[in-house]
Amino acid sequence: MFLTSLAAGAIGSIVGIGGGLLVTPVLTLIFGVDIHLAIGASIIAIIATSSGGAVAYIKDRITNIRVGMYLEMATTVGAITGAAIAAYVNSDLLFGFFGAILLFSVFPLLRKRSQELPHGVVNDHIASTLQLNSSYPELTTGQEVSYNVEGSVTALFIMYVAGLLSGLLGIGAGAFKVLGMENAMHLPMKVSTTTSNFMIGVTAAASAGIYFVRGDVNPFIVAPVVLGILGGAIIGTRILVKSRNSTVRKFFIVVLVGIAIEMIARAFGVMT
Amino acid sequence: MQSVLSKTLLYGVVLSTMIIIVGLVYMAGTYSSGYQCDFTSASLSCLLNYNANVIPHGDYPNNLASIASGLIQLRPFAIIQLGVIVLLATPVIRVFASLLLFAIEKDKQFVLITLFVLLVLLFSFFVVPEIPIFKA
Repeated sequence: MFLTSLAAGAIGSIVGIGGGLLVTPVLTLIFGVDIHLAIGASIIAIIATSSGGAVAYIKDRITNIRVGMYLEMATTVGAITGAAIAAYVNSDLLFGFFGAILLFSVFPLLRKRSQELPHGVVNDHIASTLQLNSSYPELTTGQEVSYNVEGSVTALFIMYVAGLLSGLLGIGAGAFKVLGMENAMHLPMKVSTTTSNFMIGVTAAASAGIYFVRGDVNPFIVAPVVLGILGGAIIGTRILVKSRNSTVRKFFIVVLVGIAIEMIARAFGVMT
Repeated sequence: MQSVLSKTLLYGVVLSTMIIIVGLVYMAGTYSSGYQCDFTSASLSCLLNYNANVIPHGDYPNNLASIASGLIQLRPFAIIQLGVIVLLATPVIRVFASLLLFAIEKDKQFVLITLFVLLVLLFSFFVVPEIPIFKA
């Protein structure tokens, strides 16, 4: 459990996802844990990945805090809505549907797989009013990279859906957040993944209280998971700062395909 | 701003880790979870599938009151759950810290945005679990 979580923390903190989709199947399939307890553990894992990773990313000024806070308005409301309707919807169907969406969103990423930084992005109205554009120190070249932000409204909508899924399915939906920032706002890849990492903790926290009170958080499972994830996040953050944007994107594509296949597999009842 | 937020998260994570480790060491030392299915009487699968429905007497540490009473009795699982609560609170405290920082910078738009996020979070913690449809 500890070792799986270590890997999940490292991968999750690099590509901006919570690692819940790695922890959940290992708990249910290998350790025979009930799906509800596995989801409870993965929600806590998401918060650990986020807090553990963000310590370094905020200090290194890669995370765009303003973009993160702006988008959190939508993710938190989405998360509560999702938790509210969770009992009334068929989650198998949703897993299948959104797994397919993830699989299709690989294509725009593949087209710009070797792009290092976005070009020709002009701030939209919201971005200039809220000063969402920023810059970050790129360690691979030693330069300060400035970037603009567009698609602020579209991104807000995507984040609502991401939050909805997170509350509904007990996942961090970090993959959707990264896609929203990457394909709608056109941020540099590392800014997208670290800002997603920053946000998933708050989104997960919005539904974690519900899972905790319901009794889905088992200390015997959660303790090794949290310690593993935090250790993994420390390793992951070291790797990300030294990686190129295009490398991070390629790694994200691989993880994305894996997540999509897993979600579709769950729709067909492989895990429950 | 960056250094304050980074440190807030760091302290939360370190504190939570220390509490969880104390709980684990205590559990290993006493061979007991402090609740049902102790190491002596039950199997691993009992511990792994341990939840509020399995514990009939209703003192499973899944809310602040039962965690507090578990802590007074020095039950290892209650200690671990306290660590988990600290971890859960960390992002919320981070949002609160951002609110203060935006207020100091007199950034009105972001004070409103952050306040909104904070209220939604507090709503999810304290109001939502009391609403029947969320208990399913």
